Amino acid sequence: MNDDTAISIRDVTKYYGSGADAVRALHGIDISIRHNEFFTLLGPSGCGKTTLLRTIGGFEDFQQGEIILYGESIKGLPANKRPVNTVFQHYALFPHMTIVDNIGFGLKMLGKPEQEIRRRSHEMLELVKLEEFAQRKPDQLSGGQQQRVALARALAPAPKVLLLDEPLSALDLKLRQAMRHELRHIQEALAMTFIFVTHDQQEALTMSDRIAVMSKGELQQIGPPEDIYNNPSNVFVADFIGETNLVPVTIRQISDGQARCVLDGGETITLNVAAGAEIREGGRASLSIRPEHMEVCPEESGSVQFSGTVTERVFLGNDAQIVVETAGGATLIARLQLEQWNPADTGHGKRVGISVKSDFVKLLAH
Amino acid sequence: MVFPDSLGDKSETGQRVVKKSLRDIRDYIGFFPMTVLCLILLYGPLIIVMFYSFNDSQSITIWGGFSLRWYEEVFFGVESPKFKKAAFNSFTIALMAATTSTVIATCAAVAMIRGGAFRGKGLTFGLINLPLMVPEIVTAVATLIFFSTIGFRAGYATILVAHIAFCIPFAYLPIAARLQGIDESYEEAAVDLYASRSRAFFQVLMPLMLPGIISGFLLAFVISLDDFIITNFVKGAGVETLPTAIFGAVKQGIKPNIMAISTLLLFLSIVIVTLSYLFNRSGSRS
Repeated sequence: MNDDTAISIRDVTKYYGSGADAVRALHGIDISIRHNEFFTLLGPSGCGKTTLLRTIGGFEDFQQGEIILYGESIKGLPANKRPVNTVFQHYALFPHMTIVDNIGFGLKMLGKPEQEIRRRSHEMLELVKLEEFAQRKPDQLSGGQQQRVALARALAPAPKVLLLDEPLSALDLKLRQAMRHELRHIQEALAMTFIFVTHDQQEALTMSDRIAVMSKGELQQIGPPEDIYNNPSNVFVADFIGETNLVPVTIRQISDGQARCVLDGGETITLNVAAGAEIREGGRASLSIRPEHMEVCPEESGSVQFSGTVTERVFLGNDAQIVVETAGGATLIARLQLEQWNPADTGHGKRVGISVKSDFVKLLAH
Repeated sequence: MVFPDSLGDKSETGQRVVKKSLRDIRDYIGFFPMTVLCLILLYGPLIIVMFYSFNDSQSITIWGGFSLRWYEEVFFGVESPKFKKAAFNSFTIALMAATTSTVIATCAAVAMIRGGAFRGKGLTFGLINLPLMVPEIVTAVATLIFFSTIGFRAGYATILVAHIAFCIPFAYLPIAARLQGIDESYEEAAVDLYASRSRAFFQVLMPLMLPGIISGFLLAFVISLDDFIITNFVKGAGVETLPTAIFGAVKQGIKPNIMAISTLLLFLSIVIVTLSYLFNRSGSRS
């Protein structure tokens, strides 16, 4: 383990229930989260991201593995003995206490002197810009304000790691976008480790230093947002993060790090095989191509890699998309430049070619 | 509205008609006579008792003008020491029985609703609520036999113990209902913020449960206050509560002062039950 590791999650496996009915919630999760990192656990509902967060917080036990917090195992330690705090999804602010008492609760439970509690609580209120609401009750605040109080309350005891369980999901879109920046800003200002759980890939991409994508209790990929977006390690990640076209292919031959793939329509493409990609000769795989990497060109331009018929046109304001049905039966979504948005070239039923630089075509295992 | 254009204004009125026939209970056949019958059977006798408690005559059926003499008789008349003693017993027993059973019911509710799955949970739930199902006379006889078997002398204490026992389910129901509606994340947040389990309970969960606890306490109080059957079985000679004292007095003939006492008890019960309801409602709203 290197020195700047905040939390190291080692081979954590968790089952709900026992015997034949046991449901696997987490399977062999290995993650190392660095000090001061904004780390996001991303995945669809039921993928185990919240369960993993709760095992770190001390609300769920696990059968196998280890969680190390700054060099010390916290397995089996009850939640009130762990120097981590949580921002809950629905905030869980204590409705019978004022805002300032909510924020001071953790310090009070730690037995800090009255004066320190007061000083620190007001510091936190200032941080989240809610000084004038100190004496209000939670139900007198808006959703966004409650969210800030929840954040201030969890930060007040200066935890070593802050856990955030989909804290923005209850807010409306505008507020959610503003809070993304504010959360990130606070994390940087405090130089703290944040572990953030979300199912919203946009949120994950915009806020995180690194993202762990999870599915069905298993880790799919860990990396910085650009890496996850540009070099997804499998079909699940490519499909979950952003928009992508998946074209099924059969691997004909692999040699010198290159694979010859045959599309269902019969065309053959040769592509680089990413290190660690689990593909084999004769097996099925998918090509993943982002819509923005597809260039629409006249069919006879020569550089064509796909060709087909336009079946749908979608105008999005700042750009536009067309849906193209290829001869092999694949449905491709391509982003258009606005100057290409004319019925003569890309109208309904027109034949178009689509060219993609081979760097942008990812060969992914299923 | 699904087809605003094609239906226009008609859909507006159409919808109102549909709503009315679905929602308005007054449209059911026989609603009116049934309601009147029930109201008369339930409240007619009470109204008569209340009415005649203000009667200025010795008779309980002939109106002799308005007077508060029977209320005066209750508080200062010949029989007043007897009723005052009984009222004192009733109130102190109700207070202690309600307090004790509320504490027990609160513990039971936390165990049942926050205790996770345990063996015999269904059975435990049944046991807690059994006194609601068992005919009271059976409980009364059983309690009497139990006390005499263990040699517990009948008197004030036996009434208290019996009341505590049968008040538990009445206190339990509103408390459990309230606790069921409290999200577990409040306790998790408290424990996450370094509270011990007991501090999480006393500083977070209990304040949130309070409307249910008060409601349960008041319900138990009223149930204890007006219990007759069990009390009559387990009370010793010479110890009376208000219901048994009233019953004793009625056996010698109904005097209007009984109506005055009954009216007072009725109002007290209404006030307490209303409070219980209000507490419960204020709790469920937040």
